[in-house]
Amino acid sequence: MEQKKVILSVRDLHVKFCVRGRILSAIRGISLDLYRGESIAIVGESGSGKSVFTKTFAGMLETNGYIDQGQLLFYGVEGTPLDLTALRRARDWNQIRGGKIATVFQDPMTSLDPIIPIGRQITSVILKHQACTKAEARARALELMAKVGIPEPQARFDDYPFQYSGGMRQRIVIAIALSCQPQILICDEPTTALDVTIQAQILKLIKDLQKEFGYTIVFITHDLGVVANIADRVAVLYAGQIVELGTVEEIFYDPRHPYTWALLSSLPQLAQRNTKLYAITGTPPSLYNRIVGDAFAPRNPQCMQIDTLKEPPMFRVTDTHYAKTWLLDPRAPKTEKPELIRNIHEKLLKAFHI
Amino acid sequence: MTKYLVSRILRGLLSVLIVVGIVMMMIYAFLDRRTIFAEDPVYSKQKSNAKQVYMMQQWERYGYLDYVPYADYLAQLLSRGEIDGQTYDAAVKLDRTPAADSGTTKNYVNQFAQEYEEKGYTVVRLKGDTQGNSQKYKEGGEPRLYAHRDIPVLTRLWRYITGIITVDNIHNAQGDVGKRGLTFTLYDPVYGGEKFSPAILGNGTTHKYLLYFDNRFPYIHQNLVKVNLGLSYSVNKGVDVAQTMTASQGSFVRRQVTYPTGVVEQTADDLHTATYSPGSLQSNPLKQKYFVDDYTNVSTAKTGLSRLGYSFTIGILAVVLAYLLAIPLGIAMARHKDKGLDKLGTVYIVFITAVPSLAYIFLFQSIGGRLGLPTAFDMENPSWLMYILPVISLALPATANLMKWLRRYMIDQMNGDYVKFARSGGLSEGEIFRKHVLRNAGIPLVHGIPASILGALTGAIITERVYVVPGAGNLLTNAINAYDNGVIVGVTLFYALLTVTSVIVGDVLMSLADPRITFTPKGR
Ligand SMILES: Nc1ncnc2c1ncn2[C@@H]1O[C@H](COP(=O)(O)OP(=O)(O)O)[C@@H](O)[C@H]1O
Ligand SMILES: [Mg+2]
Repeated sequence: MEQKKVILSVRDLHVKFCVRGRILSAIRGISLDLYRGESIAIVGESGSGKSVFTKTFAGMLETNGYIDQGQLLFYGVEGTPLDLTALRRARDWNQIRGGKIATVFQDPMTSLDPIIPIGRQITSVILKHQACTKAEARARALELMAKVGIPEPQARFDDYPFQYSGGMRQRIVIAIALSCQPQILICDEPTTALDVTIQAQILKLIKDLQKEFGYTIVFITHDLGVVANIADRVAVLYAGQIVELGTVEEIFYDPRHPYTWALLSSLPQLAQRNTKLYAITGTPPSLYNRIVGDAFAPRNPQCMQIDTLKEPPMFRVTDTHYAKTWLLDPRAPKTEKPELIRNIHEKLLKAFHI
Repeated sequence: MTKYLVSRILRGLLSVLIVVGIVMMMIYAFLDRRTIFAEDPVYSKQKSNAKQVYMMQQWERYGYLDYVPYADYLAQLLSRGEIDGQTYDAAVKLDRTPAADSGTTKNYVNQFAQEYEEKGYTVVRLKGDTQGNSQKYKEGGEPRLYAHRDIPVLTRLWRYITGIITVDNIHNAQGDVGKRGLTFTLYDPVYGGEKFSPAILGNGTTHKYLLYFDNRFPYIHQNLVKVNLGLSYSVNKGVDVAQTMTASQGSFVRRQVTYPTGVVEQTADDLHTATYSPGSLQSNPLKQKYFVDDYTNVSTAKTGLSRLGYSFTIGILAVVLAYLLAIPLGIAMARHKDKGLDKLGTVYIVFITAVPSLAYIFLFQSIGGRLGLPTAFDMENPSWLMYILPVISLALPATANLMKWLRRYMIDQMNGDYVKFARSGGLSEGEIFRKHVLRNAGIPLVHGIPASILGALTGAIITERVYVVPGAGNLLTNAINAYDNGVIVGVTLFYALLTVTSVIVGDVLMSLADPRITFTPKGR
């Protein structure tokens, strides 16, 4: 990363939901800078708040959710940054959605309108975001379809979504997202619903097209395994907070947070013959209650007394690497990461290449 | 597509057949067949043996059994030349008891009994019913001899089905009608032979006019193909259900008509309905003034619509009104979910659903009455105003129902992933609504349209009763009350056909609206 230019700066974001009169705190104070042209992965188990976090970027929270506190500064437009949390009207959001920030969702089977031909769905977005004629839009749509790897786009232009396979549909979804010419592309578990071989193709596609379109990728996944293929940086989310942030290398080879250790240990690629797959014990805390101390403490085998009393701050490991755990406090006893993930590099190499 | 449709239609017809078969089985095999006389004044006047014979005759007419009176048998022998007139006269005389019969009579009675018992008939001899000890028979008490045989339900069903559609042809009229054939004319003689009005006339056919034009909707009419759904016993005695439903009602319309003899008169006679009635010209000197052949059986033209006509007019207006109201309201409710309008709409839906229809129909009637709208149908002084209340009474509940479903469909679609994706792509809510939600929510709605339209034909029982509409709605209930089995079967068949048709047309419409639905086997 030669020159880091921030495109979106998240400052102490808190998101809450109103559920039958009770308040659920889904995001509990996240600060994060996204850089232009980078690819950041957001990992964490289901319910950790990955989707909610990124939904705030495009104002896509459900109606019972709201930003309680914090700022989202978007530097996409020249001059002064725009605070997205100040946007209220749907019309203002429509200036951001698509054209500035586009999203690819998890389920390609349901992301497309079932009764409109594929081609029309692409051209209507092109016409919306790019000033051009219908004929030009069609040409661009065909070009995009070819780019995302649809064979014979001409022949498939007038087909309906149900005539496409899941992988093909996700390619179309990506094509539509890209036809908005976004500066940030949020991919919310775009490959979870697809089978493994298709997953790899889609990941490669998103990564390859980044070179051409120059968007910033925010890639959400609960699977650390796919992170290495796509991300420059990784943010590990737990119970609505970032517990560790670093480059891919730092997260994989020098993880500091016990939760990151647990996530890495449960990678299926590390499972050895005749041993059981590692599983994190316990469940995440309820987000309805106020959480005291380290949210991960109840599930942490090496839990210290302070973990249950006081929330740890973000400790800096390097300029790019931060972790939110008392283990990094100078007073903490020296704790080694688990045996299983110590020489993770060789193990992964073995798993992937042999 | 064609192949699929054909098979759908065939399967639909098969299920109609099964339904009609079941209904026929229930009413002809399980129900006491005497019930058909419940509302028959003629029956109650009949006495003694004549009553038995009357029952036999009616049962034969309405398809329960084959009935052969002894006299008919003899007449048949006579016409075949097997016996002469003298023998006939001697043999036909039955005495009070079989033992008292003359030799000739005994002979032919035995022959009759043997022949028909062989064919599976039951032969019945009713003893003469005398007054006290005298030799005089009571009224209707003459001795009788006849054979009868039940017709199995399956045979009935077969006869019924094959008789539903009859095509007129030039060999239908019995007797000497002169040269049989069809003529085509550009100047219908009914109008004096000068007005341009094409018509096809038949000689030898049952109907004189096979195709003609007049000033009544739908302006072109035909008598070539007739639908027979079954004879009515009491609701409209001796008339076919199809005729009962489609014949115009109300007061006579007098128009200037040129009769075949050239006589011009103001009359209600509708010469276009003339049917062949053998010997009618000869036997009725009155008719000779007007007619030149035996096509003298004409019905009269009336001002009003038919039962189906009234039901359909009211029904279709209600359907149109319901869609016009429900679509914008349902959309508005969905778009402003949980806001004031939605809550108001929900209150309305709950009200209509929870309150018995009779209650709010009376409510509308009394409100309408206060506003000065006619609260009862009057065929003598028809006006458009009298349609208002029945139409509203039908439309408002239909509106509630449509609103409910449309709101549901819309909200389901609005929560769809593709809507979220479209929104994340920067489409405005209005665009999302127009381009995506509306079209998708419309698909299930489209499916129901044929059913609502065709359903209007069945008439609305309660509404029609409250507003005294002479529609088709009460036909079935009347028939059931009067044990009019022919009408029950006919109306059942009609309803079943309507239902099957509307489902098939609904599916076709839906397949046009939804590309995922195809009728080719590969697509399924
Ligand atoms: N519309 C909503 N109403 C109430 N709670 C919600 C809503 N959306 C998400 N949540 C809650 O917020 C938390 C984070 O959800 P989410 O971001 O979807 O997790 P994930 O990391 O699996 O994407 C979960 O506890 C979830 O139950
Ligand atoms: Mg999620």
